[in-house]
Amino acid sequence: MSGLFDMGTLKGFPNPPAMARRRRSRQAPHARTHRGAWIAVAALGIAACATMLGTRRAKQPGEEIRQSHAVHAKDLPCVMCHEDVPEAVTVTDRLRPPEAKCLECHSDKKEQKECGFCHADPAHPGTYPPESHAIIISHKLHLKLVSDDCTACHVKLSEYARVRPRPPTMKSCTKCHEHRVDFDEGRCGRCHTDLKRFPLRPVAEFSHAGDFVRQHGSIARSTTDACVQCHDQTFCADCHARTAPMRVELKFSENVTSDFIHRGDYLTRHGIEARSDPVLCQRCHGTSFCTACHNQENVGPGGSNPRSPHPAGWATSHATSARRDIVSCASCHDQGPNSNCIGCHRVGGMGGNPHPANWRQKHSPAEAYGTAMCRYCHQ
Amino acid sequence: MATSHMKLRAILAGLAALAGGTGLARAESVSASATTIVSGQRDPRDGTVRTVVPFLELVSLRASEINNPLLDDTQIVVSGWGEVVAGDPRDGKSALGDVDVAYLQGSTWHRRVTLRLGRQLVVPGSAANLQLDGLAPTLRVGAGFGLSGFVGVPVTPRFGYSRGEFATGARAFWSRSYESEVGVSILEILGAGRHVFRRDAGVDARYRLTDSLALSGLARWSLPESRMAEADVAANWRPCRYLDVTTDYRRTAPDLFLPRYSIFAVFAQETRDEFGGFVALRPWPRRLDVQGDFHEVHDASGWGWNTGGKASLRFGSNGGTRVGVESRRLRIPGGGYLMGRVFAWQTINTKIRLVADFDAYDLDQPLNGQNRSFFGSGSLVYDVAPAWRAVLTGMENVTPYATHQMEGLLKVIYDGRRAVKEVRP
Repeated sequence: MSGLFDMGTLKGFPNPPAMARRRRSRQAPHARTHRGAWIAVAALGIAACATMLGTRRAKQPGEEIRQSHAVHAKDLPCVMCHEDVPEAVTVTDRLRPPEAKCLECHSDKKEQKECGFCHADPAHPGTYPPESHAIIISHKLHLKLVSDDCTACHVKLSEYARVRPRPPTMKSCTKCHEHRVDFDEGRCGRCHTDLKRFPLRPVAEFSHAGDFVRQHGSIARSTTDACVQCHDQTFCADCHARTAPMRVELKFSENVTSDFIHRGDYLTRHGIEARSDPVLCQRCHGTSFCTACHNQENVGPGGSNPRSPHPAGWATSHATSARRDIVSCASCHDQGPNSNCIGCHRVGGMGGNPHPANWRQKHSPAEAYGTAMCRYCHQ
Repeated sequence: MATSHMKLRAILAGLAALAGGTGLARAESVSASATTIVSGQRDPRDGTVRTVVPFLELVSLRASEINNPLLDDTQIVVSGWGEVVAGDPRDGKSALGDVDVAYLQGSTWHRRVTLRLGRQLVVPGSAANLQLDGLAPTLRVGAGFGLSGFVGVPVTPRFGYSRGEFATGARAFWSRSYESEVGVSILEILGAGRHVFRRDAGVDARYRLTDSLALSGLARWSLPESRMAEADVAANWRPCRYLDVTTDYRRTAPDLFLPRYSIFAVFAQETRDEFGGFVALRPWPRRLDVQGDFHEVHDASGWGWNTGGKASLRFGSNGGTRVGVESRRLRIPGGGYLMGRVFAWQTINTKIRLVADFDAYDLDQPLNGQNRSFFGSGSLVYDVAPAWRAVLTGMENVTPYATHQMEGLLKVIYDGRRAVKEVRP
């Protein structure tokens, strides 16, 4: 599931094609260089570092406070120490007893300066380590369901000789019918605030085997919530971000088993692929992506020394090809009012009416004179 | 463009303020990855070969479970890159950079409302993976019903022109389970001068009928043109872990994927249909995988087909050796190609792996007078330390565009994650 080390079969969808590798440093006239964005990124980086520095250092839970659930639970009810639990609707650090609660019984130890009775490091006595609360649970609701029997979920807690927190295993949750259904149907978000780091079984069963690369777009558009259980958007962005700097096939050049779209010599076959499925290209790239490269290769009209890639007689034979594959035409000739099609196909031009047969059924003459693009020809 | 940049700047500043400015925020979990790539390539340009040496740094950071008084499940996700190009860059620009995603996400109102603010991908429904600088809220009203939406500025692609100045959309959905959901959506993207770039209505669904059979599909209807822009239905049957069968049908209208204000959008009204299937077999799980597909393609120019197969075998202790073969044949009116490919990897020890890949193309129609193309690459993968990896890759091309082209790539990856808590099933 690692985003970098094991791409699985997800990494196969469009990214800048083969030309991008050879033209990585190039930008089209309106591409961004983003000085402002870099300043903002630097600010964000500093803030993020501050956030990380604020993150508590990893400590071994249970090493700060010595306490035995086995001893305490023998004679005392749980709520004797965990007073806030019966009314708690969320999991917080406050559910653990404060020092004052311990001192109700053990004040003599403190008076005698026997800090080591409770604190593992008497020279530096501290409180409990903070915990990550990645579970959504209402103790208030659950205690009613189990008749205030904490051991219904905390099955083994009273046996522990140390305070080391061990949350109930998920079996404790799924033995209840409701949570069993949640588990089976993968409604992870009802309990887990963040599942990304936990390779739980329902996720593994939501397999990416088979024709997943081809189908994942359709699946993700409907069941995005299932995807985000494991993948955040940086994973999607590897392939799908329009701003990505390089082909994912190069970024993960060692992943030879992954089904990448632009693998190998894509430059040679890109024209064939584009004719075969122009929409697949358009989804990510847009025609301007094609134009920028074709102009630099001098096969587009915007090149410094353009030469026509079309066969002889193209001017009189291009209509069928254009009707069939207009996206290929647009990959070089889409320059708005400067497009070379306008010269011949404008109203009164020798190229005639270029619109499809039923065009007038859907577009009124008034529309032609009311839209800037239409006015290129309908002046 | 300027508007887009200003908005991105404001969004990032807002994220930064929330992340570090208040002192109240504290991330309980942080994961980060950084990839440094240095490559050297010979770049053929209109008859001459130049040398380009890009230095690329990709960084992503994810801070989750950020305790704060405003939102639950708060997380900040940032991914971006910067590049310095030595040698002879194509456009003379030697420094580039961009942000792929940068968003703040959190929930409120008993987690019924989720908000995501910043540069993000909007995936569900008609939005279809729209990269956006903006806000995307989701409301869950209960019983599986909900409403999501987005508003913002579409991100301009690299090497590209604006994909619109303003985008908004909404989707109403009903979710039965994590793999069964139905939604209806609407999308509008406006370009310069408030011209309609896209205005679509859509319906999407994925539904698991039985344990082994799932259906998925989507359709997008172009409102200005009153015709289908895209339709896609698929059925996936997985009777056992050894067999996976998918059959699908797609219809697209390629001209409707051009901006509606493109002059070329008025020239064609054609559809493209594709139908076929896919079969994957795992007769020897974790050792042998075999798969094949066939799709018939039809458009105004006639019929074509696209078929391929792939097999890979793992053997040796712990599957340390893997070899695979792949072939594909694409045949469309006026062209096509036959591709053959061989790939392999060999694990030397727990830290070192060798990877090789070779593919060849035979083109139906010559390109620059050539019918053949060859591409080979080899990689040495070295897991230097936990979370650290180095990869050295060499590539060699013989193509219709270059009689001989070499490229080298050195990659150093850090992929660090700090697991805070473990929950076991």
